[in-house]
Amino acid sequence: MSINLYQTGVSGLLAAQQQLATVGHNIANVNTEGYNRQRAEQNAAPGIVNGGNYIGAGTYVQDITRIYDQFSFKEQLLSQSNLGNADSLNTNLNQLNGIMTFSGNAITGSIDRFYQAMNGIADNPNDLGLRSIALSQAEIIASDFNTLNANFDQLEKSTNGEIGQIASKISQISLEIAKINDQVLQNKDLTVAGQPNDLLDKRDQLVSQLGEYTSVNTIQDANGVMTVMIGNGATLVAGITPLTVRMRSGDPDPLQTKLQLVSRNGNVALDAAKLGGAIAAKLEYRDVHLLKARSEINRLALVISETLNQAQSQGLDLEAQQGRDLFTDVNSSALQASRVLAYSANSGSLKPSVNITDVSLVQTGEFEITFDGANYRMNKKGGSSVNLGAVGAGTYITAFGFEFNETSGVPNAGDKFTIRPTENSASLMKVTLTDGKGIAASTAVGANADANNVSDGSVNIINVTNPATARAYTEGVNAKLTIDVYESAPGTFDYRVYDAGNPPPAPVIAAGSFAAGTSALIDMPPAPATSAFQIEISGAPVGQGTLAREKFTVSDVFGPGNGTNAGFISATQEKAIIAGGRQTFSQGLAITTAAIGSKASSAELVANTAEALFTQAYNRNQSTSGVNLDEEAANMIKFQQAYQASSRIISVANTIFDTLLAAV
Amino acid sequence: MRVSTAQFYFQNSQQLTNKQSSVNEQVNYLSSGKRVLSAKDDAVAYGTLAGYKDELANIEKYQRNITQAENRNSLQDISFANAEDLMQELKQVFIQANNGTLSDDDLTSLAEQAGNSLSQLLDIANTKDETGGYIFSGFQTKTEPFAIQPDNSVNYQGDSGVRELQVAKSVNVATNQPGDVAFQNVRNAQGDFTASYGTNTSGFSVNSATIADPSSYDTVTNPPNYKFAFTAPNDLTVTDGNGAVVVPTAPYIAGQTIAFNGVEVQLSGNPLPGDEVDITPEQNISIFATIKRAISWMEVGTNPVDPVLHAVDYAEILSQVDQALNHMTTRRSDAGIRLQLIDSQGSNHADAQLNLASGKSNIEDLDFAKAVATFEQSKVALQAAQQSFVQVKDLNLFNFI
Repeated sequence: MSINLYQTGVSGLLAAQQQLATVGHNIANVNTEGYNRQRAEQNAAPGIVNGGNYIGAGTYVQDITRIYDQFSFKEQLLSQSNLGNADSLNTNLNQLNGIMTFSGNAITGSIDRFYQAMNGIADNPNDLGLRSIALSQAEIIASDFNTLNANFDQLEKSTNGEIGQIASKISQISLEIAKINDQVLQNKDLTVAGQPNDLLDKRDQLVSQLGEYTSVNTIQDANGVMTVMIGNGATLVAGITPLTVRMRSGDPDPLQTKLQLVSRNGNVALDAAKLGGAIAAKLEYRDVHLLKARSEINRLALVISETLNQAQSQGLDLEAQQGRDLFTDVNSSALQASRVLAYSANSGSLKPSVNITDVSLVQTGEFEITFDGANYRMNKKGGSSVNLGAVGAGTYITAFGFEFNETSGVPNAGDKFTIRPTENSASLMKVTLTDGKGIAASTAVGANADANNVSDGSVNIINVTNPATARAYTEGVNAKLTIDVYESAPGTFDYRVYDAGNPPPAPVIAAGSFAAGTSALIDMPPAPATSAFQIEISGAPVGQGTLAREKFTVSDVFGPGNGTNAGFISATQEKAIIAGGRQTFSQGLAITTAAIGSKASSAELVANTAEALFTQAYNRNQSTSGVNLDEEAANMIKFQQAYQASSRIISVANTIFDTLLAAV
Repeated sequence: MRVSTAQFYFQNSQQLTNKQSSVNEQVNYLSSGKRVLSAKDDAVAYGTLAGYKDELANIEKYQRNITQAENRNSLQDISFANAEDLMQELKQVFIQANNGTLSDDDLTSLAEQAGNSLSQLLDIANTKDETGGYIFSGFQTKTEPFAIQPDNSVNYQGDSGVRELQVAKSVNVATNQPGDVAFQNVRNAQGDFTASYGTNTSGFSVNSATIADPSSYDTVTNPPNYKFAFTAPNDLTVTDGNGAVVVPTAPYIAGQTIAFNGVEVQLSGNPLPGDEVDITPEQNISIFATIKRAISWMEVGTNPVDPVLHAVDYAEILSQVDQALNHMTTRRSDAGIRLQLIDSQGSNHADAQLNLASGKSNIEDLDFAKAVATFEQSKVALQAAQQSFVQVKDLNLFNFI
C-alpha cells in the first residue's frame, strides 16, 4: 500500500514538474509573437480496487494543449488584412499628398512669377532684362514639372519594388508553411496524443504575417495539414506543396507590373484588386491614384505648353519674326508616339501615334482602341465604345481633343492599343526658346476704327496663324487694308475689304454680308491663299448709307514698344482652359491636389477604423490565448506548492516504511 | 476581461504613440500658424484657398500695373500741361503780332519767340520715359516721333499704337497717347475743309465748311476740291474737281448756307465779283503745321503782298491756334480721366484685397485660442498615459515572490 503512496506521490511530483515546465514555457514565451499560452491538462489516475473501495492512484498529465480559439484567430486575421490594406494605402497617399502639396505650391509659385515677368513685358516690351527673366522663369516651370514627374517615377519604382518584395515574402511564407505542414504530418505518425503546439503556433504566425500582405483563407484537414488560399480563393499552399508568387511586366505598360501564381502545372494570373491586404493597396495606389495624379500633372504641362506656344505663335518677337515655341512642341514625334501603348499580343504591324488637337478637351484617363477587323473602336475605360471609322483613313478624329493616326503598317483583327493622351508631357517639357528676344511681345496687325464712325460696330484681328505673313500682307502686298461696312437693309450689314492704296471702284479683296447679332469672319489673305489671320466684324456697324460707311483700317503695328501680345500671353493666366474651359492653370492644379488630399484624409480615417477593429480582434484573441505573467506567477506558486506537497507524500511514505521496518 | 501581458504592453505603446503623434500634429499647427498645411488637412478648404490665392495674385498684378499706368499717364499729363502753357504763350505772341504799330524787327523777334515755342513743344513731343522709350511714338518707342525739317515742318515717324495695361479683370487702361492723336489730329477749326483763296479783294473768308450729311457726300461723282467763284452782279457758282457744276449759278446772299453734295459751307464777309476760293478736304491739322503757319505769317513782316488775304489768313491761323490750345487741354483731361479711372480701380482693388485676405485668413489661419487649448489637452492626455503606464507597469506578482 505504501508503494502505492510512493507512486501517488511520484505521479503528483511528475505532474507538478510538467505543470511547472509549462508555466516556465509560457513565461519564457511571454513576448513571443504569435505564441498561444499552453496548459497541461492534468487528470486523476483511476483508482485501484482495494477491499471494495477505489483508492486513488495519483495523477497524470493527459495532454498539453494550447489555448486557441480559431474563431477569434480568424477574426484577427481578417482585420489584419484590412489593416494591412488601409495602412499601406494611407502611408502611400499621405506621401503623395505631401509631394503634391509642396510641389504644387512650387509650380503655382513659378507660374505666378513667370506671368509677373510676362506682365512686365506687356508694359515694357523693350526690356531685355525682363525678357530673360521671363525665360528663366519658364525654365523653372519646366524643371518643376520635370522634378514632380521624376518624383512620380520614383514613387512608381519604389511601389513596384515593394510589390516585388511582398511577392517574394509571400513565396517564402508559402514554402515555410508547406514545410511545417510536412512536419505536422510526420509528427502525426509518431505520437498518437498531444499536438505539436509550438509548430502550430509558428504556422498560425506565418498565416497571420501572410494576412498583412493579402487576404487569407485556411482549411485544415483531419491530419492537421493546412491548405492556404489567398485573395479570391487561389491556392497558395496545398498540403505540402508550396506555390510561389512572381512579378511579371505589365501589358501594354511594362511598368504596371502584374502578379502571377507559379506552380508546376503552369502560371495563373492573380487578380490584384481581389487580393486584399497590403499588396492590393500597393497596386491600387500605383494603378489608380498615382496614375491619375501623374496624368493630371501631365495634362497641366500639356495645356500650359500648348497655350503659351500658341500665344507665342500669334505674335512677333523683337526681330519681327513669328514667335517660336516657348516649350517643347506638344506634337513632337517623340511625344506623339509615346502616347500609344501597343499590347504585346498584337500581330499586326500598325504603328499608331496620337496628335493633340485641342488641349481644352483632353481628358486625363486612358482610352483603349481595338481593331475589330474592319473598324477601329475606341472606349474610355469603363465607358461605351465608339466607332472611329474604317481602317486606312490615316487620321481619326475623336471628341477628346486628340487624333489617332496610323503612322505606318496595318493592324490585324483583335489588335489593341492603350491611349494616354497626356503621357510624358511633364517629363519632356523643356524650354526651347533660348533668347529673351524671342518672346513674341508684339502683335503683327491691328485694326483701328475711323474717327468718323458713328456706331459701336467693331473690327478685331483674331486667329493669327502667321503674323509675319499677316504683316507683309497688310503693309507690303497692300498699302494697309480698309474695311468698310454699312447696313444695306435692316439687319443686314454689307462689308468690303480693300487695299487702302487702291480703293473701289478698283476690285476689292473680299466682300460679303452678315446678319445683325452675328459676326463676319474674313480670312486674310482670302482663299485660295493660306489664311494668315482673320478679320472679325461684330456689333452693328450701321454707317450712314453707301457713301458714308463705317471704316476700319488694318495696319502693321509691329514695333519695339508693342507689348499687346505679351498682354495676351499674360492674360492666359486668368483664362479657364483646362477640362473643357472650366479651370485656370492654378485652379486645375489645386483641384488635383485637393482630390488627392481628400483621398488621403479618407484613407487615414479608414486606416484608423481598421486599426481600431484590429486592436479589438487582437484584444479578443489575446484575452483567450495571451500569456499573463501574474497568472503564470500564481500558477507557478500553485504548482511549486503541489510539487512540495507531493515530495511530502513521498517523505511520508518513506516514514511509514521506516516505521514499519523499525517495528520489525 | 483577461488581459495578457503582451496585450498590456501593446496597448500602452499604441496609446503613447497615438498621443505623441497628436501632440506633434498640434505643435506643427501652432508653429506654422496655419490650419491647412497640406491638401489632406482640409481638401475643400485647400481648393477654396487656391481660388483666394489666385485672386490675390491677380490683384497684386493689377496693382503693379496700376502703378505703371499711373506713372505713364502722369508723365503724359505733365507733358500736355507743359504743351498747354506753351500754346497759351504762343497764342499771346500771335495776338501781339497783329498790331499795326509793330515794326519788322519786332515781328521777327516775335517770330523767333514762336520758333522757340515750336522747338520746346517738339522737345515735349519727343519726351522719353524712364525706360528710354519715346512716350509719343505709339509702338515705335525707339523711333524719335517728331523730326523737324529745314522748312520748319514736322513729320510724325511713330505709329498709332496704343499700349494698354490690364488694371482689372476686364478693364484695360491705355498708358500712352500716340503722337498722331496727341499732336497731329487737331480738328480743323473750319470743319472738314481748308480754304485756299484765289483772288480775294473783299476780304471774305470761309467761316465753316463741313460734311453735314455724310450719306450724300459722294466723292466719286463729284470729287473735291470745290471751287467757289463769284461773278457779277452777285452770283455764286460752285464746281467740283472735275469742273462739273455742283451749285448752279445763283445770286449769293451774304450769310447764307451753301449746301451741295452733303457739304455745307458758310462764308463771312461780302465777296465781290471775281473773288474765288477752293476748299480742300482736311479734317485735322497738325499742331506743328499751325505753329509753322503762324511763324511764317509773322515772318512776312509789315508789308505783305496782299494785305487783305494776309488779314484773312491771320483770323484763320488764330482760330486754329485756339483749336490747338483746346486740343492740348482735351488731351490733358484725357490723361486725367485715365488717372481717375486708375485711381478708382486702385481703391476697388484695395477693398477687394482686404476682403479676400480676411477670407483667406478665415480658412487658412489657425484659431490660436482653440489650437492652444487642443494642444494643452493632448499634452495632458500624453502625460496621463505616460504616468499611468509607469505606475501600472510595476504591478507584477513576481515582485512579491
